[in-house]
Amino acid sequence: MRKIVKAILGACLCAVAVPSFAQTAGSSADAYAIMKAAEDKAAPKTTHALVKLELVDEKGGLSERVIEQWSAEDAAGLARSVIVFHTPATVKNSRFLTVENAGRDDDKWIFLPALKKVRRIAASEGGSSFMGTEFTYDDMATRKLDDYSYRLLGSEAVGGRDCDIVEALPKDPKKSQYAKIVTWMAKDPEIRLPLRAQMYKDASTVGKTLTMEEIAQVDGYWMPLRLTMKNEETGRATRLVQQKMELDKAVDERRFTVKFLETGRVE
Amino acid sequence: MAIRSGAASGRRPASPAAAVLAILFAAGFFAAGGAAAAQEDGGSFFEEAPAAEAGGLFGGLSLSGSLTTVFRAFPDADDPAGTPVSAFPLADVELAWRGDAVDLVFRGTARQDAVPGSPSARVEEAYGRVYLGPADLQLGWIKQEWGKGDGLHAVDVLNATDFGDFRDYDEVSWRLPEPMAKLDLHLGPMAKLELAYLPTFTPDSFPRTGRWAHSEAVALQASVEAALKAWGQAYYAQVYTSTMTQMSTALQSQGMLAGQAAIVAAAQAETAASLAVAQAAPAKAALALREPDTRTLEFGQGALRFTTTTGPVDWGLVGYAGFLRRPAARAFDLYVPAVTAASDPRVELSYERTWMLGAEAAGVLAGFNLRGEAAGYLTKDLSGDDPAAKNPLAVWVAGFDRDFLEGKLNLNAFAKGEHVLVDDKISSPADVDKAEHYSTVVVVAKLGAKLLNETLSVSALGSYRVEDRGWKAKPEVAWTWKDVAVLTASYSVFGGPDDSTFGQYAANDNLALSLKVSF
Repeated sequence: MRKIVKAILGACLCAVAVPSFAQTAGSSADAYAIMKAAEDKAAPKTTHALVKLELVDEKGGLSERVIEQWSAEDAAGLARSVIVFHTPATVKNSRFLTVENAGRDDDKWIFLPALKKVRRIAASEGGSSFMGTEFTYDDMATRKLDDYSYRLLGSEAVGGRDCDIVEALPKDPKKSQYAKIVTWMAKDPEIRLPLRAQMYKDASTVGKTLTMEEIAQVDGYWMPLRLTMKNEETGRATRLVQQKMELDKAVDERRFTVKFLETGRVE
Repeated sequence: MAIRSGAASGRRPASPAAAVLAILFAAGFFAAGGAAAAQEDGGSFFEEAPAAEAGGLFGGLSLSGSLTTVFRAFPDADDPAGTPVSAFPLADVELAWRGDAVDLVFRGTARQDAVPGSPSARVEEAYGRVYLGPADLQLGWIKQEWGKGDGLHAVDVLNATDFGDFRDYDEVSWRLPEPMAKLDLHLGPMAKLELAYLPTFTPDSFPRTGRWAHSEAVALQASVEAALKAWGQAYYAQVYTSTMTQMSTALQSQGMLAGQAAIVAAAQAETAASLAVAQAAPAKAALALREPDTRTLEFGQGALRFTTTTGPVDWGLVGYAGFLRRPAARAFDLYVPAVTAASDPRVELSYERTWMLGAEAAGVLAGFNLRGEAAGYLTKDLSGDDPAAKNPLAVWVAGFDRDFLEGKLNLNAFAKGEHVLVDDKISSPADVDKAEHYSTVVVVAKLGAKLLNETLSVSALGSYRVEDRGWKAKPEVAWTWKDVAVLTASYSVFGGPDDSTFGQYAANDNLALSLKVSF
């Protein structure tokens, strides 16, 4: 089964990320087709991006972080992704590696420079905040298309673009940090990006809302350049701003190694 | 720590490590040299940015670190140290230069203690690192943690530990830097072989005086003083008896009138001198407790570690040829009945050679991050019946951490066991292994919560040593402001029997406040 590189943060960083899902009956067939089309849309094999994360507290106070991310598929089509934290000083040179596996959970390691040590992270930590942002580790994990069932809820314009509204329910709620995800998927087949997504903490309560504030074509792909994940309960938000991006350019395989985690070097 | 009477052997520890490692270095290097070169990419966007924007100074030079102000209050009214509050600034600075294939790193700390005129500064790390394709070589004063455990380890052999300021188990900063040459051979994406040669040896550091004086070190010092006092008294009694006998003989042979005053004066002088020696004996304890000079090549050590990933498990093997970091104590001339002024009563500490083989593993099962280590420390006394030599030792660490409530709560729990092997052969009270317990287990658990996007963390740390029932508890709250400053408040409580690992610090319960600013 084909997997995709993450859903949400990946959507910003990689443009291949769309919540993906499985077929049920009735309008779910249309919903499944929409999500399948989004997943099958041509996607870059590699990404390299420099991203600014703006952490906005409930009073509007701002703190910034700069991260850099490389991702590429291996020969089997499985995704690898590494993220480097450049600022602020408290997290500088922290590095995070995710390796997708066939048939089991992703492997995740984090290098914390204060400890000079690479540490494996369990999938169970997926619901926790990713380095203090509104994104979780699960938000950056791969998702299987058939782990969800779908329903087409209607259509609505977001930012002037027509969207299909698709509801995704996890087949095994224990494996998902969200009770459901409702996605506003751009109808334009060239774009096919989720322009808005609401993550529900239970059947009726929206926990977080993801909004694509700016999208554009980069190296021939439609990409989000600026997006915000807002925690509806706390009022806090994390805004991701693409500062620089390259797609389908060579990514050194040595980025996805313990050596790079420990040293930040590939040579 | 038992004191054993014996004669000085004059033996120096051999150092086969260098030769063995020279072979391994070469073998590993050539094996790794065959790895295929990867396709290079365009490098980091961030490093292309102007130096100031990228956090650097100029030309690959960067400066980072932190400044921390610490206040500690010791509310115990019976505090023997009589220092209810200590306050000190602590600076931690790292200056690094990053070249095309070379890193140069200097990290040092400076601390001004509450006691006037006692500034302390030390080099935490100072090393160069050369990148040679699949290998990289580090040379200098390095701190390097080995093992999968969190804070507690069985295979962490490269650095000594400074117990000068009692800290928690999860601190890395209390390790002492060690001069070493370390070669890392990257054998695959997640596989690595590390080879280290340490030309000299640093033992663990236990304070013998002050607030955090370690009970074992204090006991050793006290036992030396007591032994010297006993030696002085025996010496005085022996001299007094001898002098009186000589005086009596002289008086009888020379008559009561001839030279009486001179004979009595000589006897008085001799007995007074011996009394002075006897009275001064305990004061000699500091001089009589002697440690070997481990800053010599005879104390060279070698270590290797292979780590890799197989499926969902990270694992590794570790080997070490070096020395036990805790000393054995042997006494000389302390208990000899026929003492003279020329006797040299003393206690010599020695660090015994050991050969360690260990394994480590980490994996995920049912949401638990499981981690473990096990090691056997072999010594020359494999049969355990040599009272002058340390018995072999088995050490293990096992534990886990797990998130709950969608990562808002984390429980981290580890246990470490140490077992003196063939302890049934320890019969002599003077055996260097003589102890109340030959198996010890310490359990450390931390329950923590991260709130408000990790800007507020609340935790409770507990430590318990099973054998002596000593314990420590430390609730802590930390607030991070703008990713720059961290304000921390904690309260440490020590309990258990007075002679227990933690109970000995019962007078040191303390409230600590710190403000740390990173740059």
